[in-house]
Amino acid sequence: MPRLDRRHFIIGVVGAVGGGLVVGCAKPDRKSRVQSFVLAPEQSLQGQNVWFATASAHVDWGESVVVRTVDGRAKKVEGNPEFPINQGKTHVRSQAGVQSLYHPDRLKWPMRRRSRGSDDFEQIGWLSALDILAENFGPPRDSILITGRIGGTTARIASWLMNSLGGRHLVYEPLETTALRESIRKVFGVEQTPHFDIGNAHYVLSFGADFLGTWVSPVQYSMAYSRFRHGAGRERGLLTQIEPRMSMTGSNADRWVYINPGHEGAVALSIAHVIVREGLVGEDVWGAALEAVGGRDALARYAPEAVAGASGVSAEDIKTMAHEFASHQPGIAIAGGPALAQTNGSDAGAAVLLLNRIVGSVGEAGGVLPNPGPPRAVPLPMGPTPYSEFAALAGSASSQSIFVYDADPAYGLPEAAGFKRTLTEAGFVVSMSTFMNETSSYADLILPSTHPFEEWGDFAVDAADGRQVVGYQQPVVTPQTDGRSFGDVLLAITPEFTDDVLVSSETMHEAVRLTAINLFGDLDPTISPDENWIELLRRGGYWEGGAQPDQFSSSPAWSIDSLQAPSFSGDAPQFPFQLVPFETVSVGAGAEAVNPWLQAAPDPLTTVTWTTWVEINPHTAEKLGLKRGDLVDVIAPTGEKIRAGIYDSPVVPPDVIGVPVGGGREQGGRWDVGQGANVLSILSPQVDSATGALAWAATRARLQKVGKNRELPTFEFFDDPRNDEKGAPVKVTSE
Amino acid sequence: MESIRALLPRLTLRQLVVLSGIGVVLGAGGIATAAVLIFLGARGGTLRPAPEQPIAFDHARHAGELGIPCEFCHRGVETQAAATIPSLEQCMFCHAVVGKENPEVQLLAAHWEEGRAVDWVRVHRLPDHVRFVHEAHILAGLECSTCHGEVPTMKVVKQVENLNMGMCMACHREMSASLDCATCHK
Amino acid sequence: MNSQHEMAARAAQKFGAATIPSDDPDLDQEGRRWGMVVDADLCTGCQACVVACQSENNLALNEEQRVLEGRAKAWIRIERYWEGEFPNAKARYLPVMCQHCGNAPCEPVCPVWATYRNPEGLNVQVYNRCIGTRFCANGCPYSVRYFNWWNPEWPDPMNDMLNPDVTVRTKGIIEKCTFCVQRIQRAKRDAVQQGVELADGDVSPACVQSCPTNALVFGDLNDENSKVSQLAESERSFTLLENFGTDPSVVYLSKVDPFAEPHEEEGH
Repeated sequence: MPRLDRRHFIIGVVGAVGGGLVVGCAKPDRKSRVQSFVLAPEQSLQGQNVWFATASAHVDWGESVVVRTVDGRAKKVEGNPEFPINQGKTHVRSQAGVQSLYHPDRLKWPMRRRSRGSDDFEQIGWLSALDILAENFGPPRDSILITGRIGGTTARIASWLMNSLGGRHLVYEPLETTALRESIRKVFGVEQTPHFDIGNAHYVLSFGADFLGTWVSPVQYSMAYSRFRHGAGRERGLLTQIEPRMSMTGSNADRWVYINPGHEGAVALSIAHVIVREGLVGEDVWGAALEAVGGRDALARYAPEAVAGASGVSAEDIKTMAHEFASHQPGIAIAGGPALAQTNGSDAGAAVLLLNRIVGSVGEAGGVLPNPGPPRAVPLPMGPTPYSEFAALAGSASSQSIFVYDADPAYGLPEAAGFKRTLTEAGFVVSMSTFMNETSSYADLILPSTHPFEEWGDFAVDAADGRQVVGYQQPVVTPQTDGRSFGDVLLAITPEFTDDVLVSSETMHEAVRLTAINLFGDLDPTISPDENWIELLRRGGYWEGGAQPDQFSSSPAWSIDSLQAPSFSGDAPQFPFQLVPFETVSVGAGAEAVNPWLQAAPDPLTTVTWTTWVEINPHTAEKLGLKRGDLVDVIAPTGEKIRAGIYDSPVVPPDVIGVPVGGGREQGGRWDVGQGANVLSILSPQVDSATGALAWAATRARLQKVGKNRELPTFEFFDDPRNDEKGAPVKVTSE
Repeated sequence: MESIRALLPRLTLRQLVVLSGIGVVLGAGGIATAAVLIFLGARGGTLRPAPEQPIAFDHARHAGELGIPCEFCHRGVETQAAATIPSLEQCMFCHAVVGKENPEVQLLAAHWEEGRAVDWVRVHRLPDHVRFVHEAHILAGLECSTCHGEVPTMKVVKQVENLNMGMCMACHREMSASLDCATCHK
Repeated sequence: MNSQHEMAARAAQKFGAATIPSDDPDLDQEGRRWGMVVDADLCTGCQACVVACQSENNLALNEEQRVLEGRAKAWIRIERYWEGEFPNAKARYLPVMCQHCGNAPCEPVCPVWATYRNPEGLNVQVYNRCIGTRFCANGCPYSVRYFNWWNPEWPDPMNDMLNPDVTVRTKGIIEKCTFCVQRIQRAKRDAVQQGVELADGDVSPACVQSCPTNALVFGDLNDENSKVSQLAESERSFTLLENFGTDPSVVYLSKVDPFAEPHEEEGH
């Protein structure tokens, strides 16, 4: 250290202070700019709220939302108060629409891979991107289009394209509902999901259907549930949930019954057995239906005592449920989730839905009602293609060109499906999405798609409320990226149409508008067709009655004898746990994980956020020497494994582990990549024997301790004096 | 202890006293300066000179000589929170015909033809935690000049009032308007 | 108490701030008293309100680290309580937000009067007055006041979704549920503009608006015809921590469980 004398010391201090003053007083540029419009848009005023009705960005059951915009920026998503399916309410995922719209990691421009196997992408323009697409997608290669559950005009255009290319269109849904659709077809003889009139029912008997959170049309059913519980002038409805792991809906049930997975069909038939044997409902009600499915004889081997052992549901419980269900009519029996993700899934579903025919609630208010079908020009969202067809792609991969839009099969299909290899070997792969995903990381060409809030579209609602419900989607802001809508891209590459509307449409906007004017242009004859179109956009859709409901078939086309015992991958001694994957209400099956709001929204039961966890019964955990947050490897019979932390949950049965899907993304944005693990990847390729759908809850697993602990990010940190109070903090009354 | 002492400069007692003295003086000076700045700030020390605008729009000409009412251009003032700045289209209603020889009008026309917005510099601005609504104040009968001064005489618009909370409160008290914090603070 | 209030009033006058509203209980009887009814029998735990609130009120992103630290913010959160053991275990949900107490423990402890009860029964947090002592958060028995340990960040262009009607809170201050005061003000302005009186149901905080089961209802507790005051009369109604005497503006309706074990009913 140099010698510090007084002179040098003072100079040093003055210099430092002076420097500080200069820095401190230097004025930052505090000018704020305010821009004027060049041409003021007609419907917009500076600083004023402007609301646009459009389709929700993150759910596919047909929710219409209104988006609040201020000065051309989307601010808030709210339910469309006029739309019958959600009536001003929204699902938690819909709320995040503005967040994915303004997400910093959206794909911004078309990109071409420089060479196969590398991650080296170059930015290209749309003209060359469309050239590459038109040149490589289609003959001489087999063309395969893989999309999510698209519907409406987009689906119509896609079917023209695939017809002209002679290709196939596969619809990918991560937690496949093929079995549900098949069981509806068998029992009611219809393609469209019927209207389950929960709002007017007195009893709901749900086999694993998380209808308040994720099943079919949860917002509609939640609103109905409100009336079911506390509707004016009626008794409070009773909800019974039968499932292998308590779902969010299960946690709201009055009676929650544990069942060994795969035995839902048997228990449903046993309830039918009790109703028939004890004559709880008159034979005139169930006689014909029972005859069609095999008669009393077929039902004979489903006595409660015979079913109780394997199913884990006591004969007592079965009888109680049968009595309650028969005496609280109208009532509804539904199935979903793990109940249908079994090797006997669609037959189990049919057995459950058959209960509605046994008690005579079909076609009655408060029961199961038919839906009238969509207008021809606006097809319903397409049903998923069974897993077996995706697995079969592996056979002739090299001769294929694959176009994937709004789906991520490389993430969601089990490793055992070999889909990643299919993509690697395929002649040409193009992926179109809003965000990078695992499928697009295999693509030769990546096309950025517009966000749903930036594009035109129309949709018909599958699980409607007994009416024909059509919704419209319009841009609410100018596009944030150089993306295009899927429909626009298809219109650009489809060689020829003979559909009048599509021939004269160069853009999705035109196609949707002309389709709507053809259908509803004379809705109000006092105004012009174009004014009718504007009115449709303002309301968000069309949903008056008028269409003739398709009638259900008079009797079920199913046989009780076709219900087989379930089979599982992995034997019980070696793989002691039944692995039940489930969808959380917020993150869903992975596509929504890019949104930090949804990642941070706690799972209702465990309150875990941001990561994947393994739910296990506290006593089992204790026996294994595991405590909260201990890392374990979940190992499936396929040999694949994932690593996650333990959550000891009192609502999980001793031989079950529950693992949420949607984690472990390798591609996406800054908030989802590397969070948690992907349980879908380790599943065995078990399929529903009737449909080939993935039986995603038919895999067993074992746990291996890792020897590390990682605290789970839960919302259980509130230090609240109510926890010290005697008894339950939530007051409970029995009346 | 030893090791720490080794790192310190070796000062004599005298040096130490002088050093502490300087410290005290600087500290007191800092507090005094801060107090003066806060006082000036509270008195409206934030008033800044009139900014230079990308187009030298002359309020004295429009609002003064020509007598165009404020709300003719600032159309939101009676109906919503923001008074709003007119669109170029609105300027061009007149300037497509009049004042074409004026270089500033030519600048405006150039923006219009290129479809380019004008980056006006904001003159009046309230902090983010204040919710000011023009509509309510105009409906209560206030004149624009109460807060904005005699704009019709200003060639270049400049902030003339402090627009600080004291000013708001004084007026709210006088007019028996709401004194609840939540009325204005968001 | 009185001298404290006089001092507050003097200070407020001097610095040009609002006079501090008095503790006079009659004040609430005259005007409105905004309140909410939460039906525990209808709350399904779906989280729609939680995210709706974050969107409406510019809440900072609850990154994983924040949750782990116990410093995540949720103006409304759905608490879950376990009851019993498998196979009879149950989960009960309770949405908890600021209770807007008539006799709020957070108010008297604030040294700078940054929190006070306004004439419409709202417990208001004035952000620009708050100096971050966190006394109020410690005083709140419901743990619904959240301190900003960091400046919130939204990577560009995510800041485009911020609500212009709500301040972005900076590091060092307390924030909490406001009953969406910006929506109350907007509804009042709209009513004035249309020349009508504010009707029951005209004001809807973001959580209430999104709730699919209508488990949340909002309105004026002083208006005996409003839906909230009628629901609050229900036999099922209770308030949280009644024995603390906080006089909350949020009234809960009990969970109905027809198969509840008898001992669970001791609580009331």
